[in-house]
Amino acid sequence: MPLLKLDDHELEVPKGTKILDAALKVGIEIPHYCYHPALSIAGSCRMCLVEVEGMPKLQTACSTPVRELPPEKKIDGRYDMVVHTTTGKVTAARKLVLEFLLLNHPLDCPVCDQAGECLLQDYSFKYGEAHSRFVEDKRVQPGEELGSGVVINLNRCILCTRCVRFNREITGTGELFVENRGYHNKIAVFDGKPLDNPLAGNVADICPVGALLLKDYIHSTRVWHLSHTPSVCTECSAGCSITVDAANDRIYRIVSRENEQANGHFICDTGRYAFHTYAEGVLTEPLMRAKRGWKALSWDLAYRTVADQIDRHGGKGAVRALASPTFPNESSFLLGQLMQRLSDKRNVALIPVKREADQTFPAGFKISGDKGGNRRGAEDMIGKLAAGFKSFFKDEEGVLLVMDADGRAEVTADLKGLFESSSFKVVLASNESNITAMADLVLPVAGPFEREGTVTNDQGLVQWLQLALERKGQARPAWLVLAELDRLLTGEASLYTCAGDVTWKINRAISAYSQATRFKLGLKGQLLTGTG
Amino acid sequence: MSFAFTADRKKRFNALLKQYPDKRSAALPALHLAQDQEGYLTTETIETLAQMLDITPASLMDTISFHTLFHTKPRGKYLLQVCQTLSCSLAGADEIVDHLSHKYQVKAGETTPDGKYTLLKVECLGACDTAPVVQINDDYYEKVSKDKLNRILDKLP
Repeated sequence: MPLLKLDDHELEVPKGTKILDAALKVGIEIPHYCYHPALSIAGSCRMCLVEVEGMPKLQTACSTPVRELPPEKKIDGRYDMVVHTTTGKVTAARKLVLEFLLLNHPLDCPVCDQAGECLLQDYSFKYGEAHSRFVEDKRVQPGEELGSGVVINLNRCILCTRCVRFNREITGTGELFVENRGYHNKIAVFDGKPLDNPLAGNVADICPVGALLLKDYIHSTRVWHLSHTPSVCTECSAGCSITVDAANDRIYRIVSRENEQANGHFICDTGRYAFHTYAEGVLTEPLMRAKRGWKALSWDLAYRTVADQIDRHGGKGAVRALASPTFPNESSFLLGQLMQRLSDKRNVALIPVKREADQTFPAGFKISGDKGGNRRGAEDMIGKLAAGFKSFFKDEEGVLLVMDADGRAEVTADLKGLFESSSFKVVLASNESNITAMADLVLPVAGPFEREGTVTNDQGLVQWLQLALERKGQARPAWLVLAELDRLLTGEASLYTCAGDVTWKINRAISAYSQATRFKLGLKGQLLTGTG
Repeated sequence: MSFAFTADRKKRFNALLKQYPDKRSAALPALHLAQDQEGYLTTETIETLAQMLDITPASLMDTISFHTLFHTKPRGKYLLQVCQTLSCSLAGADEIVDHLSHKYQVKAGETTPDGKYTLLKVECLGACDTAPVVQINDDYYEKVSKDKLNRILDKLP
C-alpha cells in the first residue's frame, strides 16, 4: 500500500484513495463544500486545494488519488506522495476561493437559518479574509419554492451541486439541475415540475450553506439555541439514526445522523416531519371513560382501577395484552414478563400496524413498508407471541391491556372483535389515537421522543433511543407504568429504577441481546448476536 | 404537441447511440438532430428525448441551458447572429445590430412577427481577421457592411 505523508502524519492507504478521504481518516481538516461522502466527486468548489510535492499546481484533495511510486522513485526514499495542507500557497488559495464564493453572497447571516452551522461562516472565520474587494453590485435573484417543503434562496447558493447530485444519484428522481451558465448559473427545477420524492428534505441537510431550507424550520429558531439529541427514528422498521434538535421543550427539526449500519447519511421525509403529529393530542393525565367524555384521575387511582377491574372480570388469568411494535424493547419486555406472571396462557399479541410496500432507491436507501418501527424488538422481547389474537378474543370476559402504536395501529375486524369482547380496556398511549378512542382507561405514557430504551431494526441493529424532550404533564415512561402494575398485581418489589436497568435485565434474559448493553450500543448501535 | 423523429432522423439517432458507451453521451448530437427537425426545443421534445437517452428531463435541460446553440423558444427561419467580440465590435458590429434591428423592427433576441428573422448578439465567432462577421443559420458572412448585408438578405429565399 502506498505510504502517504500528510503534513506531519504518515499513513498507509489503499492506492486510489482520495487525499481528502485520507485526511478525514486521520482528522486533518481540509475545508470542502462540494465533496460529500455519499455523493460522486464534483471538484467544483475548489475549496479543498492542497499542495502535492512534485505537482506544479495546487490539486483538489477530493479528486486527487493517492499514487504509488516504484521503489527507486520514492520521495525521501519512503513516501509515495507528500501532501501539504497548511503551506502559504494553500492558505492563500483558500482565501481567494472564499473571496470568489462570497462575491455574490448576501452575507445576511443575521437572518439566515444556516448561521451557526454554516460552512461558509466557519471557513471564512478560519481561512478567509474579513474584507472583500468586490465593489460592484451583487447579483440578486428571487427565492423560489422547489416543492416537498424545500425552498431555495438563490443568493446564498455557492453552486456546489450537492443537491443536484443527491437527486440524481441517491433518489434517482433528478428533479434539480444547474440552469444556464457562468454568471447566470442557478439551481432550478425543469419546467416548474416540483421537487417530489420522499427523501427531498435531505437536500436541506446536505446544503453546506443557507441556500436550501426547510419551510417548516425557516425563521423558527437559531441553531445555537437547540440541543442536539442523538436518537433513533421509529416510524418504520429501518430504524434510521437521527438527531433531534429541540429547545424550550419543543422539537424544531429532525436531521439525519450518519450511521453506516443503519441509514447511511440520509433519512426520509416521513421520519423528518413525524414530530409535528406528536405535538397534537398529547395525553397528560390518566383518563377514565365517564358518562360524558373523560374524567381525569390520579395515577394511584388509575392503578387501583386496573387491579379492581382485573378482579372483577375473570381475574389475572383472563388478562389479555397487545404489545406495540413501536415502543422500545424495555416496555415490551416488561409487558411480556407481567403477562407471564399473571398466567401461563401467554395471552400476548402485537397490535396490528400498517404495512405498505418497501421503497428502495437507486443508491440502496430503503424506506421500510413496515410502519411498526420496533417490530423485531417486540417479537424478540415477548418471545412466543400468540399466533394472532383470534386465539384469545373469544373469551367470555377479561381485561385488555393495550400498548398503542403511536397512531399507526390498524383497526382490523379482529382487533375490533377483541376490543368488543373485552370487559375493560386499558390503553397506554402518548397521544390521542384510534385506539385510545376505544379505551375505558387511558394511561399517558412518554411519546416517541420522550422515551429511553433500546430499539431493534429489521436488520437486527439495536440502537439506544435517547430522551430528547421532557414528558408532558403527568405522563410516565411506559416501562415504569408496567413495572408499577407488575408490583401492584404480583406484589413483588420492582427491580427497576430506570430504563437502563431493564436493558440490563434484557441483556441477561435474552441471549441474542447479551452484547446489546447500554455501554456497547454507543451512538451507532450494536448488531444482535448471531446476525450480520 | 408530441415529438417524434422522422424515419430518417430516427435512423441517424439510433446510429448515434451506438457510438457511445452510454446513451446519455449522445445528448449533444441528439439535441442538434431534434432542433434541426423542430426548429427549437419544446418541453415535450426535451421530455421525449430525455426518455430516449435514459436521463431525466432536468439533466437534459442542464445541458441545453448551458449551450447557447440550443433554443427553447421559437426562432425565425433565419437566425441572424452578429458577433459582438472585440474585433467585430471595433469594426462596427454595433452598427450592424442597429441596422438589422431597425430594418426588421426587432430588438436583439427577438423574432419578427412573421417568424422569418431572429436577431441575436453572439460572442466570438472565431473569424476576427474578417470582422465584422454575421452568421446566418450555418453560413458565415464576413467583412459585412450595411449594403452588403442588405444584398445578402434580399437574396435569401
